[in-house]
Amino acid sequence: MRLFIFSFLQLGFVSHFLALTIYMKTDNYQIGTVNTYRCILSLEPAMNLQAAPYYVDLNTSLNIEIINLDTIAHELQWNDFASGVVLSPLGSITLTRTFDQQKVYALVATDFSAKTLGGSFAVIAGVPAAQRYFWNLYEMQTALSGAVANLSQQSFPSPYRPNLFSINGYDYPLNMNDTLGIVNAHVGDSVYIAVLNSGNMVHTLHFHGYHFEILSSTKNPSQVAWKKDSAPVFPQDGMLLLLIPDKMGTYPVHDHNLTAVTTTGGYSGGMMSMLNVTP
Amino acid sequence: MNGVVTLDNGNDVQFWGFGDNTPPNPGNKVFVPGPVLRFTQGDSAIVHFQNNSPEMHTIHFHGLDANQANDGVPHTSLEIGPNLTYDYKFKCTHAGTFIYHCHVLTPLHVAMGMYGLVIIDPSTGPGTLHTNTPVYQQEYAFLSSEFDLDWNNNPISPGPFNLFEANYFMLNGKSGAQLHDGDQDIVSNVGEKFALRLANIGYGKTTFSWPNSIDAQLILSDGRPVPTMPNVSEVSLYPGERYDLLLNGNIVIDSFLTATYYDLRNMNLIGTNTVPLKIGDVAITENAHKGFRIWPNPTADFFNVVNPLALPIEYHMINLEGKELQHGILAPGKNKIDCALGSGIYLVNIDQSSDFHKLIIK
Repeated sequence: MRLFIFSFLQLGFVSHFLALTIYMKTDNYQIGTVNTYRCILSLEPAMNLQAAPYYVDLNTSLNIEIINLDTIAHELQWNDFASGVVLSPLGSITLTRTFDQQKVYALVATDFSAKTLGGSFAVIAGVPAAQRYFWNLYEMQTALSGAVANLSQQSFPSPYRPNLFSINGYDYPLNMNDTLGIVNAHVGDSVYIAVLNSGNMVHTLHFHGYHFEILSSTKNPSQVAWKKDSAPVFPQDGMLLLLIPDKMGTYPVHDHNLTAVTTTGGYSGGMMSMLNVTP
Repeated sequence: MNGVVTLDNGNDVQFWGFGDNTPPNPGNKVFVPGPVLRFTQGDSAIVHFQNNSPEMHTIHFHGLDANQANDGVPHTSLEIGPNLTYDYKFKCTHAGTFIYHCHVLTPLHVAMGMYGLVIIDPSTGPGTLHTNTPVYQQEYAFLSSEFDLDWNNNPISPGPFNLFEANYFMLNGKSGAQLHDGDQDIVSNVGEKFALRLANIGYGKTTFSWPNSIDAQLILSDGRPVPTMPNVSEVSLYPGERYDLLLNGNIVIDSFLTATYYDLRNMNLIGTNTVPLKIGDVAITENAHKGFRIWPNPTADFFNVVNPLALPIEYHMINLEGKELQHGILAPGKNKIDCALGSGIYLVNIDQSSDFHKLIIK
């Protein structure tokens, strides 16, 4: 009888097997008036910069087929693993993974071109409310992005002088209608915000009005459980933040490296979102 | 408001900054960084802001979680025009180290020097970083920042705002040899705890490190207790972060606190500053650096002297005309001095040190 119960619990432990196909492609996109190349991983072969994260319950296993639509090889790895896989040009590969912690996981590109151009796919696990808000941070030196995409630039640009800073493929204030990025909440709500840095440099998020708690981080575990108003988000880090607003109002959230609150050198712009809190 | 600061190489450069008009500040002098604003946990703070410059400005109290009307952001709050005033109000709900800065055309106004520190003592007053953490005898605060001197020389058209290139690196507005003039020295004694309040308002990462014979415990970050309060050997502050540490020297040393500055775009090391850090033995350092502090300030009719020495100390109170109004001796273990002198500004000299503490009686 005891053996039977044990087996039952084991069955319950790996409760979900899901199959998923995602597509990987590098292309030219327009953000506001700015053209930039970007590598996208998306659930649809028709790519867009506003790809929502994928949500799974804890202990879900995913079989993920990744189809490379580019004519160059790419490499991918999970943002909490040190080793990855190679996708041949126009080829595909299937990865299997179980998600057993409340985290913002991401498949991130590690080959020079796709990594520099922000190739990433977020999988949020374990906190259903955490799929409501998602900030995919990305910056680029747009004039060089085409050379990175076609491999004529094969090492990190030096000096690197990004002129485009975006959240979910928008620069401020184009993101004011971004339902994934702009937080609309009530006083006392538990607001979970998943953050992924798909860019190439550390971005420091500063919240006006409130402190937040860092619930998880794949690259900077030293600050987990800290309550902060300013915190670094390392490249390829997936972080889960908890905000419980204690008052109403509209407050900005922005990168406090102030070169990043600009678009093509103009202020205000770039990496800035907004918290709208009502009673 | 424009000011001029002398750089480490002797050249003068213009900056924009904040000044303190209490007490009267002839010429409306401004400083980089601006004056430290100090409050006690539980205070309802009111900061009277008077804009004497021809530009729009605000004050954003970074980390103090002011409400929207007092957040200092032009497009969500309001900006303060030339010759106008505004009273910024916020509650000091948590102890810790915070920053204030202008939030108008922020990349430029912060680059030009419009920032300073806010320190909130716990409700028990100075001497601990947080309620129930150990007492410190000395306290040192450092605000890290940078100039792109090309911007200071041409703030009207500094070029694209994403191309800030830090080329002058500061702690408390000083750089290089200026930090060895004596007024920034960190001085403590073997076995005594001292507090370091560190903040970064720059565009890059600043890493602070100290000799490994010094134990350092991280107490607060961004005005909140750090879980487990770990021991650390260095701390790295990204833009806008603050770290409050409690340190303890185990042996006599004559060394440095080192600040290294990194460009976030490539993590290149772009600058270094050092501050003398001396752990002495009590007998040697007690006359050189006594580290007295007085609080509360402003006050009504008394103040406390934080006396790190187990010895009686003599004090003198003088008015701004230099006339002595009161003096006395404070026994070891006693720290309260009654001073019903009427409202005004007084100077307090303790134990014939070279420092005169400004005391405001309301």
